Amino acid sequence: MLSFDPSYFLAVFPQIAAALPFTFYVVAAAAAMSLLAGAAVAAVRIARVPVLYALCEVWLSFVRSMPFVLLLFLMYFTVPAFLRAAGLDTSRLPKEVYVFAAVVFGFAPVIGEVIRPAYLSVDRGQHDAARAFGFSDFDRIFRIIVPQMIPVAAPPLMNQVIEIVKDTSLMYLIGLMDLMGRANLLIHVNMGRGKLENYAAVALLYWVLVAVLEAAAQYLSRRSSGGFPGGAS
Amino acid sequence: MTFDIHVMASAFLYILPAVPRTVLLAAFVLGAGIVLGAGIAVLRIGRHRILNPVLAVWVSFTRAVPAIVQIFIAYYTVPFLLAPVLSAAAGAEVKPFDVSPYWTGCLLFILYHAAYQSENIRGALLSVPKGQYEAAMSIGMTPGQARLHIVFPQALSVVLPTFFTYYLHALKALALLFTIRVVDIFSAADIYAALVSRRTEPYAADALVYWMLCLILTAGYHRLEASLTRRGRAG
Repeated sequence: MLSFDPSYFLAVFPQIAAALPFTFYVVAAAAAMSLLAGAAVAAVRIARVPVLYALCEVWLSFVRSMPFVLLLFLMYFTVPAFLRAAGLDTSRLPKEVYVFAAVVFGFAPVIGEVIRPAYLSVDRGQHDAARAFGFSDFDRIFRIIVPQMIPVAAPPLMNQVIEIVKDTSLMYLIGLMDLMGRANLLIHVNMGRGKLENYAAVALLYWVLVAVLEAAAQYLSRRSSGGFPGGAS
Repeated sequence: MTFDIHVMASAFLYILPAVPRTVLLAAFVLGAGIVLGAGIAVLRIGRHRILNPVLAVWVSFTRAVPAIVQIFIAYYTVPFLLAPVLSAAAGAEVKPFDVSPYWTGCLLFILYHAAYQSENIRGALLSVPKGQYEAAMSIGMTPGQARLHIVFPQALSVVLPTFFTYYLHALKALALLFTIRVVDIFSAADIYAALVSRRTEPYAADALVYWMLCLILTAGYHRLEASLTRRGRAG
């Protein structure tokens, strides 16, 4: 009963790998949006904006308690019910929008907690010096402070991207054709046979994908540490 | 379809009985994973020529591949491997399809957490300065004594506080077992959604259960930590 057909595995592997671009697109878009939202959360918490600060705290505690699959189902089933009640039509939204919503909702406060300490790790004197040199607020943050945050923030941010890669593997549950979606479709077409070969192909692809990202994270942290004269490290 | 608060309330009551089960199952799989992971960490520090690379590859696989993929692979292999074992134990033929998915879920998550914990514990062991081991040897301890009395306690104080974070992860990770019909806090909500054919409220109720549970567990952990710190100082 327990069998593994290498030739079938080799046949389905490229068909499942064909879903990689879609997976990349969802992960890259979701990660970019989460980074922006996370930066906003960090800004709110650094500036201690009165009501929003407390809201971010509650938000973080909420999403930390939830498995990602529940966040995804809340975005896909529960939130649209409220949107419909408010008179908004959600039926024509592409399904990946729900994945983006779930990832941003689930990761923004966590990424905020990565960015905030990185910002605070840059010496206060750097701000004073930039002001003394007449840098505008925008230039002070993006040309002086952010480059010094990178060595501190890049490795944990990369870990969050890896988490996003792994969590978005659940998007097949709402009917998207990512790696798992393809595998399930191929199994279905094959009348339920060859499950192991298909899932092994998915596992192998994820393994390579995450290994590459981990190597990139290590390269980033090695290269960026000490790369900036007078940097944080 | 609008939001019906009564459905949410009854979903909440339906989900509650799954809470103790989930809390215990998470504690069991993480606990077993920690024991196994500690063994693997010690083996890997020993740098065995064959065991070390094999374990390194397995740890890398387990940590890189999403849990859902591992669950599916386990679901279609573990019952076939367990059936002969259970048949021998029960003295009657057990077919693969009779093997409860609980066995698969437990075995999978024990191995899953063991891989994560082996890295966690290995890091803690390596964080103890080498001089501690050398000093222990220089006062005449055997290598075993030096590890047991000098290195392990220091590594334990590094690794112990991380276990609570991992416990919350373990609790949440069980949610994916709904795909193989193991009933935890998430599956209960999913089953209720199917029973009443409404998908809006049960997940909202489930979010509330998870949130309250994690708040209670975190508060309990902080109290425990505070009292341990006090006792540590007093002693």
